[in-house]
Amino acid sequence: MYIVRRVGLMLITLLAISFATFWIISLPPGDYVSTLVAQAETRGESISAERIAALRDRYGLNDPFLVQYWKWISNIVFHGDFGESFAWNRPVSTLIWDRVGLSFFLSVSTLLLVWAIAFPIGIYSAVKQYSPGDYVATFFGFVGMAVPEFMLALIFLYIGVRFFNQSAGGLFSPEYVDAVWNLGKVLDLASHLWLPVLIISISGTAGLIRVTRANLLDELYKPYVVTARAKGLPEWKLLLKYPVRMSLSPFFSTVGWLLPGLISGETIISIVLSLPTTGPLLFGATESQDMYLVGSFVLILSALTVVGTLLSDIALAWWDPRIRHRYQGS
Amino acid sequence: MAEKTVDALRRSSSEPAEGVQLGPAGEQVPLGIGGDDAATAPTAAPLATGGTASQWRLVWRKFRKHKLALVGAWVVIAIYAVVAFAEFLSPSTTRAQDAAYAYAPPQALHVYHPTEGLGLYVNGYTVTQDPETFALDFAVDESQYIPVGLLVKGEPYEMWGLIPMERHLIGPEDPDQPFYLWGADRAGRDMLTRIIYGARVSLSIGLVGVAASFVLGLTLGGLSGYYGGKLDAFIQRIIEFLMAIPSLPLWLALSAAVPPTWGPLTRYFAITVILSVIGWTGMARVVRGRFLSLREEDFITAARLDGCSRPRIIGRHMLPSFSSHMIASLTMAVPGMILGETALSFLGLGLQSPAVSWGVLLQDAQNIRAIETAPWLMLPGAAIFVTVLAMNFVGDGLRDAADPYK
Amino acid sequence: MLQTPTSDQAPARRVALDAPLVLKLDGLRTQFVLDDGVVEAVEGVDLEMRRGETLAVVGESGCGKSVMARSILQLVDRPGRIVGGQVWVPRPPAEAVASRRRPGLLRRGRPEPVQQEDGPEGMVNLIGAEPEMIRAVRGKRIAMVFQEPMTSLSAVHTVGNQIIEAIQLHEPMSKEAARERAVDLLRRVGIAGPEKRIDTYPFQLSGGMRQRVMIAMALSCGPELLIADEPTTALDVTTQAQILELLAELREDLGMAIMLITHDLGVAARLADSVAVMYLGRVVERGELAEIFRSPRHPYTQALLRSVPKLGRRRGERLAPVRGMVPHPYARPSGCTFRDRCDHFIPGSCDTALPPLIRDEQGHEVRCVLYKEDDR
Repeated sequence: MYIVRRVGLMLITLLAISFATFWIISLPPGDYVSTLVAQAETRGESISAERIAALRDRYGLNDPFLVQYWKWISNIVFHGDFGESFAWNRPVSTLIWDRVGLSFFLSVSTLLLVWAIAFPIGIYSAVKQYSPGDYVATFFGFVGMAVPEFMLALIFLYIGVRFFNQSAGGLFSPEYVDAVWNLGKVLDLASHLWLPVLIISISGTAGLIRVTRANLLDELYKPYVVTARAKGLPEWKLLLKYPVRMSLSPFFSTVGWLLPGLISGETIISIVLSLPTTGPLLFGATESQDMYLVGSFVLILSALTVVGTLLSDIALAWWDPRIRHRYQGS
Repeated sequence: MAEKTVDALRRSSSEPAEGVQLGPAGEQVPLGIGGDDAATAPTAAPLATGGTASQWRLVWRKFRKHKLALVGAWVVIAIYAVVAFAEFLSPSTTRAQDAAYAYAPPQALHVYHPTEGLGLYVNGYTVTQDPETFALDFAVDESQYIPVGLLVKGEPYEMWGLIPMERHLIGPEDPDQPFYLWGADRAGRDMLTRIIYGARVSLSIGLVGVAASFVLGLTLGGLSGYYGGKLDAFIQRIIEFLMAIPSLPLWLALSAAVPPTWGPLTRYFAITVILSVIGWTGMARVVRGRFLSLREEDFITAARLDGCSRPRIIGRHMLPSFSSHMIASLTMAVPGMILGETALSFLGLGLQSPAVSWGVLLQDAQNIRAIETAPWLMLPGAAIFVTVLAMNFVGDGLRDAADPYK
Repeated sequence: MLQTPTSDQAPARRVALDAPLVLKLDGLRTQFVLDDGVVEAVEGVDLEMRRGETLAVVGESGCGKSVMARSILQLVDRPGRIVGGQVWVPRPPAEAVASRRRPGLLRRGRPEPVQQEDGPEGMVNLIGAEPEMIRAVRGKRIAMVFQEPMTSLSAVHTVGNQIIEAIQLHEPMSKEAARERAVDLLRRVGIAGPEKRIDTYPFQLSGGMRQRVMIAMALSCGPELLIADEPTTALDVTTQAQILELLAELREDLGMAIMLITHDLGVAARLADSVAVMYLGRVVERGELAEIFRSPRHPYTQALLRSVPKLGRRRGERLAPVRGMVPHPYARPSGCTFRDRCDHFIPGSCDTALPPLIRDEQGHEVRCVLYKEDDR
């Protein structure tokens, strides 16, 4: 029952988002077709009047705002048609779809690495507060948060070129870029992937260590921990079962927000290292004001955000019985 | 993305905790037999003396103990002092260029010369040109002696845009001699000068952005926390939504809507607005959380029962008790803004040349060829690092000190 | 805040002086090293408890009684630290300790357990003992009940989970058997429908119920000593009475000793056989309950008792609060720490040295210069 109501709310939010997105799309002066025509003219080509008329009709450019909006959203919902990118002259959906796989792969591997490193260190750092290990972790945390990601990427690029004489950009060596998938290509990918994964992980890890440490410190000296200790529980068992479990609640309440990030990937790093993920695509689109592409991105990411929020709430209810019972009560 | 989620994590977790932690803060050293937990008494004990010191004194006392925060505070003050006197402190101006010294490497500043004796000087360059690529190749020439003086005449400038001056704190005694302590960029402009001028934009955008998000956050968060109900729910939805969208795509989408024809000043404000549209949410959550927990506090109830008016309760009782928290959150928001501006400008979506900001400067370092020949183009990154690190230390210290009773 | 102590006193229970010791504290000292100084929360406490005895430790908030109780099982959180003294408890069976040891790597670098100095027969000093030894005592031999039943139970685990965990830690039994035992325990502490309640979360229970759950958990392994740290302070008066009654009942049934930490003389009067009065980290008077209530010796105890309302008091008679304020913990008076607030202050005597502990033949102890060893 609760979930049904939440889904209803979600649909309303999505509607609002789609309006906002369409508004952003229509912000830049001139519409899609006139941009297209202007572009063609700069190249010295011309587009036939029929084609222009057909395109104007396709996007409803002669219609009032609401009709335009309806044409746009109904095409997306019923046909999966996000419109055309004028910069690429290809459907937006294929453009995005081509790159989602790699973005997803990159984000997931980064995320797993960040969790695997940051949680244990954060827990250690909290339990051994003010120990040398804690100071090292804290120092690393501060440094990691103060270096902009793209700086890290630049530094690694520089080190790669200067000392190892190899270019660190891209995900594939030139000979594999257009090759079909085989073992060689997979290995080639792996040999290129570790660097972006490492760079993205550094800042993420630094932040998560700080958060884990602070959240756990909030819980570590609560009375229920003393109770559990008074039972005679061994320290490490006690730690994992009680304070760590409690300190993860905020984590679960935001875990769904990772969803849009999985698709959008690490935009800046991808641009600097020229990785074929969705980030640079979006970036290029904003630069050239390729608004259908930008709008589609915003719409997809926002939709994922809304879905992610719902997933977060469900995850939190599963994790924390207090939340679960509050929902059942209402 | 990772960083943002992390922020959000921390924020949502610290809220309930803060509400609870205020509880024991009210405890005074018990006068008679009382019902509190004796185990907490020793920790609450310093209040007996602390009770006489003002809240700000306690904050200061606690802040002072955080050595890194103290160092950070001095560094931040020094950086803002540099920003204030940028024109005077920099050896040249941002416009002064000399194509003959494109990508000239940094010179070391010497104090003692074997033949000329004591006195500041740098060495000149010998320039060779690659016959094929026409690239200039610089080597520091030990034999060239360029005396350097303090308060020397150099490029004319207008102090704060008003007072025409031509004295610089440091510079070559002969203004025509090359003087590149931190190297030169592709147009032969002095990096040190440009970094100092860039600090002015990058750091002020942080302050202006935080001020804007502070006003937004305080108003909306306060409304949300004070009135509660439907308005609260509505504002919370908006906040959740804005916080959840990965910030970079949102920035990108918004800045894509900024017309490229806008002038530097308008662009500057557009970027500030974009940054604070995202930044205010955190502030609003903090304010709302404090309002909610304070509303339930006994001393607020007591003030209400004493017949205090609503503005008096808010102004006299509520605001002072969370102003230290606000200042801590503000401090922690500034580095985020700086990093945001830098990232946007770096991508070419924020400020654009001829405006000078750290992000704009780093745009030159995007090209791997460029950083290979002139690694000092990455120096603005070092400036960002030091600034953000110092500010984070200050913010961390302030957050720890914000609740002196804890 | 205080209830009438004298109206409904249970008939004085006498504990045989030859009953085996369950706890012996020798000069226990615990400090809190804070930024601005050191607080001596517990400053040399000596106490003995025998099987079946109920000792009430009373005193104002901040007198160190709770820290003292936590120090016994080494549950004092940072920045608190036990800096001296011994805590003697009956030695647990060797296999209970050995089974907790983890072999190999994890033990590397851990100091060898301190060689035990001479203590009472069959007892072991927990201070400096190996962690396995302490854990074998915690929950099994000595159990604790805390003040806040809300925050002292984990909100994200069912009460059953938390009780069963306590049982399985010390007794090798299957989950089903442990669950059965947990149901029995819940029934024993007066929770209706224990089969259903066992699967509820603490936040679904009332304060009194939660405290019953805490007690059930503490009793799960049949401890010899139950330390109840302000067990009724957070509860309303009716529930408070029920919980005290329950504790009294359980004491009779199980024959365990209870150390009752309370600021409430009324609570102490209802349950205890003997009383220890603490002031600023020291026990200033100790004796049998009836004796202390009838003829308190230390001026502080006298002042405390005067501050308690009594039935049958004449109209218009005013309650006398203890004069003055508790001194600041960093700046304790020299000599007798109570001298600033004492009506019998003797300059030159009270402020020079800590008064010695005087003990009469009934075992009534007091730390005050008004009494001499031969003076009765």
